[in-house]
Formats: sequence, structure tokens, C-alpha cells
Amino acid sequence: MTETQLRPAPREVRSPEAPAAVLSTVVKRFRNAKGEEFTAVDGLDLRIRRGEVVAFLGPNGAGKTTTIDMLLGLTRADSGHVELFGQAPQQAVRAGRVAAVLQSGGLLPDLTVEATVRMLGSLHPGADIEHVMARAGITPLRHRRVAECSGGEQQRLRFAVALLSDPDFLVLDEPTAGMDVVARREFWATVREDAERGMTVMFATHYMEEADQFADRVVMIDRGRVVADGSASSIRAAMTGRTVSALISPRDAQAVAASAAVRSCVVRGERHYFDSTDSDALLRVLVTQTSATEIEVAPRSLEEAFMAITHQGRDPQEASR
Amino acid sequence: MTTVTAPAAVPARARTSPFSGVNPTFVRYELRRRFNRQTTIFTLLLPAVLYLALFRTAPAHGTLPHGNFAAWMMIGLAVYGAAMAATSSAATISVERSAGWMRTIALSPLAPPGYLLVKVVCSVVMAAVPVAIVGVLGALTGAHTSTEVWVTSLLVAWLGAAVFAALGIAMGLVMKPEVVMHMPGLTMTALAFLGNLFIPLSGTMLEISRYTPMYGVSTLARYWLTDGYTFSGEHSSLAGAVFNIAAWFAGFSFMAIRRFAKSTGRN
Repeated sequence: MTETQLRPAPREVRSPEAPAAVLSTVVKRFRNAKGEEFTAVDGLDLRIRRGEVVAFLGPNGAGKTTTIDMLLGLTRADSGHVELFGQAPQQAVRAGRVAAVLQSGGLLPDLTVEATVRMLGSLHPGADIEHVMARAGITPLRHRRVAECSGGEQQRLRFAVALLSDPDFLVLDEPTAGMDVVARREFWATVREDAERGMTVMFATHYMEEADQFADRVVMIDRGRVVADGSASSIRAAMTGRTVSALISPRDAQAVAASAAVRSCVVRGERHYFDSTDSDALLRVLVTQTSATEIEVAPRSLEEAFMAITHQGRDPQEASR
Repeated sequence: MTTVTAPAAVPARARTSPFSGVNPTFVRYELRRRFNRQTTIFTLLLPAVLYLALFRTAPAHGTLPHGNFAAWMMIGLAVYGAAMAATSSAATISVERSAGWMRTIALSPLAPPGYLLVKVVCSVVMAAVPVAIVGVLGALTGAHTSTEVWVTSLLVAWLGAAVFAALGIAMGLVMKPEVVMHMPGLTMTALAFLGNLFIPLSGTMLEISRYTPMYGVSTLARYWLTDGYTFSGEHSSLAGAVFNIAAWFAGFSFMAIRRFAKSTGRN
């Protein structure tokens, strides 16, 4: 007998080239209680290809969560265009192709862990409740009420809920907030397994280490705009090194800035700040060959990494002034 | 504004029904949550106590074509109890909104109309309890009317709770949980007086009553008992009652849907 039954074509075939997510010149403004308007997301452009693991990095208030809300169709952009797998965000989300672990809330405190997964699981026909709970490591917590779960446990529950639809694209908004070191490591190990099976992952974080260890690509945003977008290794390079600052005469500073250990030098207030790849060598020079006083050494902050990355590729002369 | 491009083909997992995702398991969990609330007891006892206080307060003149005053009061309090239970039950959506549950729902296949349907259905199911209690009390205290009237009137009182479930959802989405907790008791009692539920109204009060939300359900529920006549002989048409119900239900539902669309943002 010949099989004449028509099967639905695999979904990849339908729009093979549509990226997982496209945001183009997206703008979102909010009004505060006083009626003052501020721009949370200011013409953001971002394209996430399938299978990528993207870290969305930025300081608090950079617009990460607002961007994610628009990506998921929870908030409507004031202008610009958002698309997931070539569809409107809400469509892709309701079809279960995109799932998310949101930063906080989103759970009913009076339900048990198992009831939460079962209740939401009933909305996804064919979801394997036990498998999802096991993957998120919440099987032992099943009879506990959500209100009695720690922040980290609630986060794992949110993760379980996100896995219910077996999504192609997983969006995580600061997923490890509230987790201890062990829980954090376990969490990332689980996500990594999914990523290796081809799931696209985007996660927001303000931990540089997480971005560095886990992502293929790092997108940095600040004040609602993408300020840097590159491989994790380029970010790592920008993060290495320390900032050495001192009170030093301009003549000495110029001489020191010319040495190989110094990448750039800026003056803020009375102090000179040397961005250094080898702070030990630089300290020796400062102590032995100059009259520098009040020397301080600090690891590079996220903001300084931003600066370093955004200044990359510029004229070294310009960068050193 | 976000431009929405229509996809060339319908994706494999997309569902087209606005009520997709509504299923018995989800409804069961939703219902189980509501029976936990302590407020339930108050909501269920109040109509019973009010019935016992009021069923003997018949006006001096005027009779009913198909039963006695206790039956009239029983139907009124069944409407009141059902409305109160449905409103306070539906208003718990306020707690869900502040817990961010609406965001979780917005990320699931359950579309807003489907979620609101679940809310209305569960609230109406809750409303069955006070209707049954008042019905039993009525039977025990000598409410007298034909079987036909018993069934139709209590059924209308019960299902009419859908109007107030929609109101409860709208209130729950507008107000904070601390505030909304006290609203159903106050609002429903005020509406019940205006809606000719507790004290037989006449004249100007009855005219005003005709435009209030509980008038439609109470008039319809009592229609088979009274043939549409009040104790003072004024007549209310069946069409008027049905129109009242339809209009208020549409209005409250519209409010609820409008507020729901705004509720998935952060607060």
C-alpha cells in the first residue's frame, strides 16, 4: 500500500532563512510619574541568527528588559519593527517557538511547583511534564508551594515552564539572579546542553563572566542602543588588563603613555588613567622612573570595557588623548 | 508602531482559534485555586443571612401571580449571591496581575479571549454555590412557586453572574489587590438595592433602577414568577431586561478586554 497521507512539512522548510529575531530601529519611551518622558530603547538594531547563543550585556537601566519585552510582544514598540522567525512576536510566542524566563514574578505564590508546571503544561499539548521538571532540577520540589521556594528555585521553575513548548529560541532575562554559585553552574550546564542541540539562546546579564563563558556572541547595550557587538573573545580581550591611575606630571604621563604596556591614557580631574595590558610592568616604570604619587590599580569595570570596545578601530592617537 | 507582516504560510504549530489552549486541566487548577480563598465563606454566608432577615418583609398589599413573597426574595438573593461570588472571584485577577502571572500567560499559547473565557466560566461556576444555598433556604422557609419557576429563576440568577464576572475582571485589572478586595461587597450591595433586589421599588426609584446592571438579571430571573409586574403594579418588559443584560455584559467585557491588553507590561 502506498502512503498517500499528507504530512505537515517540517517547520524549518517554511522559512529557512528567517533569522530567529530581528529588531530594527526599535524605540520605546516611558513617562514617569511627573510626566517626564525618557527613552528606554533608542533606535536599537539587532539580528539574531538561528543557533546563536547571544549575551545581552549592559548596566542596569540600559534597556535590556524593555528590549526583551518588545522582542516577546509583551510591550509594544513606539516605532520600529520586531520579528521572530519571520512572524509577529506574539504569533511566534503563542506557537511555542519562542519561550522566555523572565526576571521576576510570573508565578502564582499559592500554587505548588508541580501544579504550576501542570497548569501551564496543559496549554502545550504533548508537553512532557516529568521530563521538563527533571531537566530544570525541580522534581524534588514538586509539592512545595511557590511562595516557599527560594529565588533560585523559583528561577528553575520558570526555566521548567519555558521548556514546556520545546522552543527553538529561548530568551532569558538575568536568569541566574538569586542563584548561588553551584546553582548557577548547574543552570548554565543545562542551557548549554539545549544550545548544543541547536536551540537559539539569548540571555540578558550584567555579569561579564557569564557572557564570556557562555555566549558565542556578545551584544552590549547602553542607554538603549547597541554600543558593541562582537565575539566573546573580542570582549574578553577588552576585559583583560587593569586601569592604573596616579597623580603625575603631564610630561611624565606622556612618556609613560608611549610605553608598550599602555593601551590608552585619559585624564579625569587631577588623575591620569592608564589602560594597561601589563599593570606590573607599568607600576615598575611609574615607581622607578617618574614622580607619580597616590598610585591605584583597579580591574577594568564593565563601563571601561564598553569604552575600550567602542574605541576599538579608532586612530590610536585619538584614543590615547 | 510595530509593523506586523503576515507570514507567507501558517506555521506548523500556530493555532487559529482565539480560545485555543482552553482545556479542562487548566480550568480545574483555576477552580481549585479559588476554593482556597477565605473570602469565599463571607461571600457565601452573606446572601443566606440576608435572606433569613428579609424573607418575611412582604409589602402590605400586592400579590404575585405565581408564588409568594419568600420566593421573590429568594430569587433576588440568589441573583445577589451569584453576582457577589462571581465578582469577588473574578476580581482576584488583580492578585495575578501584580504577581506578573499575566506575563506568563501572555507567553503561553492561551490568547487573551481564551484566558478571559476561563476566568468568566470559573467565576460563574463559583456563583452556583450561593444560588444553591439560597435555594435550599428558600425551600426550607416556605418559598412557594411552581417547579418551572424554581428552575428557570435560579438558572437565570446563576448564569446571569457572567455579567458580574466581567465586571469583576475589569475591576481587578483597574485596581490594586488591597483596594479591590473590599470592592465587590460595597459595589454589589449598592447595585442590588438599585437593581430592585432587596426592597420592592416603585415610581422614580424603579425608573432609575431600569438602567442599573442588576435590574436586567433580577427582572429576567423573576419574570416567570411575576409576569413582569411589581408589587405596585408597574410592568417591566422581557425585552427591556434582556437588553439591559446584553448591554451591561458587553460594556463590562469591553472594559475588561481593554485593560487586559495593557496588563502584560511591567508594573
